Amino acid sequence: MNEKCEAEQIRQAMDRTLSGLPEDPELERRILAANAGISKRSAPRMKLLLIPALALCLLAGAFAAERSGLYDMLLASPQSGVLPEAAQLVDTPVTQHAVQSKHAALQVTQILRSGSDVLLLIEAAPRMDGILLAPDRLLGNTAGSSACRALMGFDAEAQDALLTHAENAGKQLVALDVHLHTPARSGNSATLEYRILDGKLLENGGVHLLLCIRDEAFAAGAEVPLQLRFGTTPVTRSEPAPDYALQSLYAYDSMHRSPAWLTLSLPAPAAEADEISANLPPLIGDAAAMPVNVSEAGVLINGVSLIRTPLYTRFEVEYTYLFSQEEMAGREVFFLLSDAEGNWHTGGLRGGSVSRGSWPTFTRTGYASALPALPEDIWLTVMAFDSAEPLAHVRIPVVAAESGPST
Amino acid sequence: MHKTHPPSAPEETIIRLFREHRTALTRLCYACLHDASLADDAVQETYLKACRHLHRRRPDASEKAWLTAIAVNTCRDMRRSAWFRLHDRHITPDMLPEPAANASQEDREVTLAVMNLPGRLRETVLMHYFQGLTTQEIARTLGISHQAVSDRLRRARERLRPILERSMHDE
Repeated sequence: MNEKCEAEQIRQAMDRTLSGLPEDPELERRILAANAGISKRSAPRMKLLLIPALALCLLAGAFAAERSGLYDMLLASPQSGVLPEAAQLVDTPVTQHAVQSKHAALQVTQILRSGSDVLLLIEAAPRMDGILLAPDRLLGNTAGSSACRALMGFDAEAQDALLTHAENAGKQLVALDVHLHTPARSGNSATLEYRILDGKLLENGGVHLLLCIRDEAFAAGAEVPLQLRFGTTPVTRSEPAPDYALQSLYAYDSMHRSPAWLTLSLPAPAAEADEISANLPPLIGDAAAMPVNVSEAGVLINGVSLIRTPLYTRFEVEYTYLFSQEEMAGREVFFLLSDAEGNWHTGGLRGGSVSRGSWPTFTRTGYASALPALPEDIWLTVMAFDSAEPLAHVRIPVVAAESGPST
Repeated sequence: MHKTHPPSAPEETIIRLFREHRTALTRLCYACLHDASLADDAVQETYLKACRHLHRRRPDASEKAWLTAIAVNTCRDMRRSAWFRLHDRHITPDMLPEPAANASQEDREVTLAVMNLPGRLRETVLMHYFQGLTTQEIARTLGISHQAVSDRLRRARERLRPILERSMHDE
């Protein structure tokens, strides 16, 4: 059989087998609407429609938050994961933003800014009796359910406790995450932290956080009752403006089938960002770890650098693949960093994290909560995109840098 | 200096691109993601990106190759999400959609074999055999050498050949 014959056989087999795939009849219309909106600012009509919707969301979110005791938790630790020194850096907290879908109410309770860095604190509360929210400390952009018992951020005992609690309460367990640094709270709520650490976003005029909660999967009885989708959209503009709210979301606000939207707008005049950056106090510490050969995972860790600031801790892992790109097909790695107790998993080092370099050497950058002191060692877990099991787990001693930290 | 807005793509162009390629892209994305809903999302995202970057399309790249490249990269991004990784994405016959056309058992076996190839091999096979891209176009899209594309196709063929031959004999 020649290649041409094989190609034809594959194409025809796939065409016939997949001929019954459903196609959304509304997709063309939505894409055209999105295309029409790409170069336009949002129309006033849109804003007028969204204002009462946002107000309703705020009211509903506030009600849900009050009912579930969120305000108490809010008052208790509004700045978890941030050192006291950061108080000098943060921007004025924004007005509360909230959004809700059929299943959950989410509320951004605080936005902290330091130059180009933004830390969002989000509270989530269920809106249905059958749902128990729990944070997932390890996974990103995800949610779990009672059908999906892999709450990777928790040890077996904690998982069992959560699941037992959910079952006793007759609820499904829904794990919410977004780069969590806070432990699971008791009761029916969770605190989420989402970090945007990309100066380009602010340089472009603002940060928009998009929360999309899809109700469809749940309604269809699928295993996934809730999915959160976080995204950031850099804003481009043709003239200075004080506020960029409710625009530049492209068509996302009409693209998803059952959306609940939260649009946050952070005006970012360059002068202000520069001023905040200029007033940053020196970094607290800087450290590096020595090269580690993790040959079982197919990589050599050239070094891990750790830079602490009052607002966050930044990690950089430089690594080199030991095999050819072909041999490593499907084995691309990413990392989790933690202390001996498994704290401060660094979300940014997971899939989709910032990665630079070219084969075979790359650098990934991740962020975790601010660390009050330099750890003696860190644990590096090497993961691969095509495997749920860690490829390697190694301890790396931390050595304080001889020279001061660089900015 | 302030940036200017990207221009909207001409509506008739988008409509044409959509109607000509949507079905194939949906099947391609489904084969990559093993989930009809995710495939729908990926196609949507593909066209959104196409709208935004139509003016930057290289004139020497065919529309099909260009859209396929966007779709493959979109699927790859989605596969990298932790949410995706959490689930076992191995697809079994009962998970395939009910075909509208007359698909034989052999067709389904071939499709499953392609869908269950390792990620890189599957991408290459879908781009070459299903979408009909040349090895040069695939090399440019994936940022790898022409030789690497050929190697991938050879390895994929070795894996698929028993099923293809059996399928051929059964017919």
